[in-house]
Amino acid sequence: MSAKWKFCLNIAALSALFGLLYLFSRYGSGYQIRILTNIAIFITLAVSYNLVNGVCGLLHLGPNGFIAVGAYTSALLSMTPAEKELNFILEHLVWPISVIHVPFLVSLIAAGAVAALFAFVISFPVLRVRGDYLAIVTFGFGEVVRVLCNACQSVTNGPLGLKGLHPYTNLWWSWGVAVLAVIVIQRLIDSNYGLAMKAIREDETAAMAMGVDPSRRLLVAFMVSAFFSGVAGGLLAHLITTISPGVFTFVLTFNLLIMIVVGGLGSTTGAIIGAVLFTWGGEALRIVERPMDIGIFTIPGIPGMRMVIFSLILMLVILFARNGILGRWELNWDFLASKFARLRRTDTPL
Amino acid sequence: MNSFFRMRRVTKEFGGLKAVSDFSLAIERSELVGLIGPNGAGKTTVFNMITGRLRPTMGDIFWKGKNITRLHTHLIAAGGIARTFQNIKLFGDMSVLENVMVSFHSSIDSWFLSAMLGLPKHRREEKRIREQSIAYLEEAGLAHLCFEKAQNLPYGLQRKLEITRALATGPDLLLLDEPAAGMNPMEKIELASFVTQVRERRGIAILLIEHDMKFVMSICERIKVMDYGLSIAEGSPDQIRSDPEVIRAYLGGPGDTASG
Repeated sequence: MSAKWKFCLNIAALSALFGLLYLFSRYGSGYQIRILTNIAIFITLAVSYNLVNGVCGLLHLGPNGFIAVGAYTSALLSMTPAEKELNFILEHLVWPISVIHVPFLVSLIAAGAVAALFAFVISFPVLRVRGDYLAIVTFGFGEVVRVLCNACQSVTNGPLGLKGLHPYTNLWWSWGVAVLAVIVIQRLIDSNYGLAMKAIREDETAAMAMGVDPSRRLLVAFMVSAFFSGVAGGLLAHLITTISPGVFTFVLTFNLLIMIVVGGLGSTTGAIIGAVLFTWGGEALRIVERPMDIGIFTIPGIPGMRMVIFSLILMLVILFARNGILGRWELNWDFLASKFARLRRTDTPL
Repeated sequence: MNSFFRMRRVTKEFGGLKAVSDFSLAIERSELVGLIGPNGAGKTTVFNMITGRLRPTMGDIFWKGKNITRLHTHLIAAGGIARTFQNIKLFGDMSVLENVMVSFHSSIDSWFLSAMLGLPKHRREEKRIREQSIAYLEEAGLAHLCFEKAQNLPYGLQRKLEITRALATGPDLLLLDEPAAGMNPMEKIELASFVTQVRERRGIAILLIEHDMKFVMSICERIKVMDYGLSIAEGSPDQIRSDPEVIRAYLGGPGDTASG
């Protein structure tokens, strides 16, 4: 398939997506819009998480730390000084932050930048180790951030959290960021930089012998991933409008890990599918918790039943698709063309 | 130190064990040198020290007049020393073409941000790398396998791809670690002609570890023999063939107390 065709198809797909979103924003219920917004945020998170875990092959367990950093940065910057005054009752907010007030977009970019800065700083201990050790170090980072959010009352307001954020995050913001994140991250993966990252995943010794500097390439992945995690954190904060350290526990990381593993580690489209299934599926399964009438007897609603079913579905997916739904394949136009029209890849990406 | 490549009195100890001791070696431009010796003689350790995977305990390694003893592996590779591995180390889940494209990474002249933004300069770089990689694969006769996953290639072709990938880094010195291991006689003959061709066409120096005597004797101009970490002989294939030390190292003989 020629590049021109793909470009046209991409434009068409994007128009269809935004057309659909427009219909939902006009006619959809608040509940549906909320789920769609959530999906977009988790797409951003899963795709950026996949860059480190799937493409580079590092078991990074600290994205909740970066999300927290982004959420707090964005929230503190977008609140007006008066609102901050109201929030910080026990301790006063430190000076420069207490008076800064910037537009939402700027606060999102700052959220990403600060998260990337954190990634840069912790990369020195993190990227010295690999495998299980890297998992432990990054897990520790996530926990440290959470504990610091609790402890640094004059910056984060401690366990009280920040309340009354403006609900800036809507369908357009969240999907705009998601589309941007997917395009930019996929471009990176498709470039020679992405190849170098995959090479490090496949065999680090050989990659080094071919002139690839692992620490610098992994740093790029780590920082880009943290940037988008931070931005998504900012979006999340302005969606739920109340943040506290309790929002950013390891459970968040764990959910992201499930998304990218179920979708297929190393596949961007897999991460998207994982994020959609996880976010939407969790809600769609609420029907099983309702009281049911099956003619002979009635089942009273069992709270928590959907998580049981959901876990069963996840187990089945992993049982029958060991490498996730897509494995390392990408659900792109070439893939679709070869699947549906049985076109052998002849004139493709040469 | 104006020679092309030189190792001067290099020693590597692992704990109390001397894997390589007092080893010296000089290679001139576009020379084809063989490094042979029984198992455990320290040949691969020499390779690992040259490429910066291991740091010598003592001694220095000079490359084009510079001391590279403590340089990082990727810098040595970018500086023009490429290698293959004894147990093939390809990027298994990546395509044949992608394997070769990785070798151009140190030559890429655009920042990662321009890759993310898809700037024209980066696209030109990607195009250049892709075209050059395909040229290398065509030269090796692997171009028709571009989109095959590297791990799905037959053994002989994996070896060949590994050499092609090393060549694509544009080396002046190529280190081949047992390139003929596990090959059948036909594949070995083909490999020998491939290696000599590569050297003639590119004028690069090659240092090669090999157990197959026939293979080494037929293509190398100079051979260095190691045993128990020591260099025991050096010379032309004919000299090596008749060297009593070499015969004793390989076959055992009077005065050799260690068996096996």
